[in-house]
Amino acid sequence: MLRGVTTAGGVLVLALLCAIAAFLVFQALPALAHDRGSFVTERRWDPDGSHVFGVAALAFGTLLSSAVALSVATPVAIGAALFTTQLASTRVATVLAWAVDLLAAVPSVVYGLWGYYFLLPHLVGVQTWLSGDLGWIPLFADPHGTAGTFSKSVFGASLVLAVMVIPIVSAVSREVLAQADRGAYEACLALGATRTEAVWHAVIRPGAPGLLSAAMLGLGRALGETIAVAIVIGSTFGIDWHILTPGGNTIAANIANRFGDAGATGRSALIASGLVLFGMTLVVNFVARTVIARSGIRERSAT
Amino acid sequence: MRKPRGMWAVGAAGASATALLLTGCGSDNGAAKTAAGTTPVSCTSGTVTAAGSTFQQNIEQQWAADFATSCSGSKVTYTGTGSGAGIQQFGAGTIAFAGSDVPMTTDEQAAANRRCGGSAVTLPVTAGGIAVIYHVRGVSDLRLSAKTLAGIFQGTIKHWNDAPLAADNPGVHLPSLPIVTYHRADGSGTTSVFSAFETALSGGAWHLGTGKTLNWPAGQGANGSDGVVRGVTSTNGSITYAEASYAMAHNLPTAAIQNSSGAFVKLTTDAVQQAIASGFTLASASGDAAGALDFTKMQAYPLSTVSYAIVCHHYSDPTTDAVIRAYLGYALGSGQSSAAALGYAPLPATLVADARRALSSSG
Amino acid sequence: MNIAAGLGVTVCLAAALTPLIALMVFTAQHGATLLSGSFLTHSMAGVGPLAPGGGIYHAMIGTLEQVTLASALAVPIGLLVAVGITEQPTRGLTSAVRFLVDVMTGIPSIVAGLFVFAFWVVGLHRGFSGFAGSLALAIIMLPVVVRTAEEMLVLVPRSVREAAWALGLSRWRTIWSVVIPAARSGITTGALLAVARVTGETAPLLLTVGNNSFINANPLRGAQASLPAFVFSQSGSAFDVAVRRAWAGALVLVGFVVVLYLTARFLTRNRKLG
Repeated sequence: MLRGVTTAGGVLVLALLCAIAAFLVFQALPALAHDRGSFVTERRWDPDGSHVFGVAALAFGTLLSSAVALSVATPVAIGAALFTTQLASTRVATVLAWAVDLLAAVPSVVYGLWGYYFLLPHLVGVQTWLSGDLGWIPLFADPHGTAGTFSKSVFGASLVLAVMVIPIVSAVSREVLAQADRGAYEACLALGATRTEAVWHAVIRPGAPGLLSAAMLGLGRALGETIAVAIVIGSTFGIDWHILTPGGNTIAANIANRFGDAGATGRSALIASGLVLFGMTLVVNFVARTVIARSGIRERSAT
Repeated sequence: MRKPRGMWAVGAAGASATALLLTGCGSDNGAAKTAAGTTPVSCTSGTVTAAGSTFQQNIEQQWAADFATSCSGSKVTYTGTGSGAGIQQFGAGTIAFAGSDVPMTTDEQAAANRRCGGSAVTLPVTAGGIAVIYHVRGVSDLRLSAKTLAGIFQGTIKHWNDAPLAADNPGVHLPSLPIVTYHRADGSGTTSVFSAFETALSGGAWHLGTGKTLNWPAGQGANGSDGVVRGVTSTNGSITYAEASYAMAHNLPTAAIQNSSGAFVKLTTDAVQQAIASGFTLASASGDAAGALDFTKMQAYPLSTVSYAIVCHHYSDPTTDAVIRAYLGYALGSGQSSAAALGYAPLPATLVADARRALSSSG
Repeated sequence: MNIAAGLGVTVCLAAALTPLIALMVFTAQHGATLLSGSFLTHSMAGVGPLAPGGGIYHAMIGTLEQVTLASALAVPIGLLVAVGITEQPTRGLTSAVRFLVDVMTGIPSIVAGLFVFAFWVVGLHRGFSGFAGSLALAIIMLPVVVRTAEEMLVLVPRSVREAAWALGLSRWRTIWSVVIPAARSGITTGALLAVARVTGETAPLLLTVGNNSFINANPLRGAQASLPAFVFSQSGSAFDVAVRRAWAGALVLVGFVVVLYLTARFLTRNRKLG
């Protein structure tokens, strides 16, 4: 009976997901047929007018902003998870853990508006420092001299995304770290390891696959976030590694921006860009799962 | 293990709170407030959902509110989701009527006709001007020609005291600040009208074409009219284009725009109404009341436009049919007096007549 | 070394909590002034864009119904699927489900809305309804629930299951009475994160639930209001009265999720044995 019920559940989900994928492909085809430019390399986006459109700039912006967001959020979230599982006493830990989780309660539109009104003005100082002292790193270079002014850039959008991603990475990390084998931890200490070393070897390393999964969940959130990014990012269609320059765009933000006034070809083109987003999520998750499987650190099923 | 009784108590409390919420200790604000007009409104009960252009959403919401207070039982809700989404949903049959800034394409008309089981009619419901909003400390009476605007938004004119600006504004002290432009990153009927105006009146200086979205070579993008206006209020030396209500509501200065006869005219309700009366022509003599804007013919304020409602000529559901006819009857009648307060302009009388005719003609 | 590590971890926590406080303060500052009994018990019927007054009663009912129905769909099914792929792995089916669930964690919410719009709202001619919105929200929630539940179930040590089997419990009984309760806190976390995620979603709701200025308490028929759609439609307005309403609505939305979260956490907290 158990087998029957769970198989039914699995088949239902499979059917649903396949239906969605099929639906999207079906909706995206008209635009791809009409595209007068190359969908993969074209940067401009004009499906309803000149029919020249492509995801080059959008895909680049999506990957760049998510990468920056995750590189900020993952250490912060795992650090916070470590604090609540290792350093704090149970009661304090519980309260702090719940507090971090509450970041997930804030709706995206509020994140966007907070990012615009509060964060972006306060980032000007950070931007100046980054482009000044760290400007030799190409990422932080400031060729247009805009770092000292209020700008809607990939940097600002990435930071807002980072804050949005922290709760999910932290929550899952927390659960993973909490399940660490106490015996192994104490054994490390008994063998003379410092607390840090014991935590590293007995808690973090065995939990690495779970932490990676946590980061993947966060990445999923970052890739698909629409409204908050749409409000904070500059919405231009260029490929620029300089994250401090005003501009940038992501696939999801573009869908949010353009969907309301798109014609039939426009909608179809936006869905096609959504499929590209799927492809990206797929590749990243596939790589993550392969890494976890290869590491062989833990068994993936309980039987 | 802890006794589960505590959990049940909390659960019961939560359930009763939810039940209270659901059994309606709240209400639709029932009592009739002051009705906006004196013309008697034919009243029918019914719920109607509409969506579309954000340009007309303020006045649609005002009409819906006034209609509900003078006609309890009739519930019209209009949401600004964008003209394209509105047309799509109308064609799909999920909303009763759509608001759009541009008439439908042939394919869209065909889908709409299919949905209606007859013909779908496009009629203008309101007129409005697009304000060129700027924020330059020390400057309050800016004049701009279409050519200068083209240079500004295409990035060829980079500072406020550049020659073309000085030429448009003799005797005004303009600072040497760099110009920051904000344009709409999302699809917008406002962009479409602005670009059409530029194409018509800039004498070839405008290279970006016409459309709801453009390939802007310079400036920053923002989402929605509120987004571009937010940008302008945050940046000294910035400029954008948006519906007039935003300038009005935030007390922001708007530029006087040069029309085809050379006069620089500020955005006022009368100026817009005059422009529409002189610059709007019906596209076809039969059925529809959709039309085209000719910016070269517009007198007074030339950055003006109309916004349309797309309805079925006849609905299969008699309640929907009655509510929509009553609603539009109100909108085209005493509802036009709500326009000025919201930053729109009432339609010229001839257009109202055309709209009514499109709504009631047989066939 | 220890001190540096400890300090680093503390800084991380502070870095995580600072935006939270900033966000809450920011939302409260903008939204608190309008909160009142009247605001919470009236709808937007008869309230024009320039007029003060109005309220979010209709939106609160809508969101409550839509999120509850979505959770009722997504959490049991998600849990069931997670149990299926961890406890009963079938070679082909499990990998396929895992693969697709991974992909779906990145779906932009508007796509879920489009799907339900095409199939349910238009295809099956059901029109706008709160339930259609629940379907869209459930689609967004499902991968998150499955993924996190899967992680949590795998973390339960095999020894726990083996002990139960050794005591003579059947497989189903083991899962239901031993494994799931052991992973209870983690599964709740996953479910709560999913609920919190979808409560603030706007785009899918506009396509499936539509919007309504009047009270519609029937989730099965007719367009409903919802808090996110309310915030969306009021926040873009030029007029200050509307923007303030949007913020008050956003504050209520945040408050709703916070209360939900704290209640669920309180009810399912683990008492660690020993």
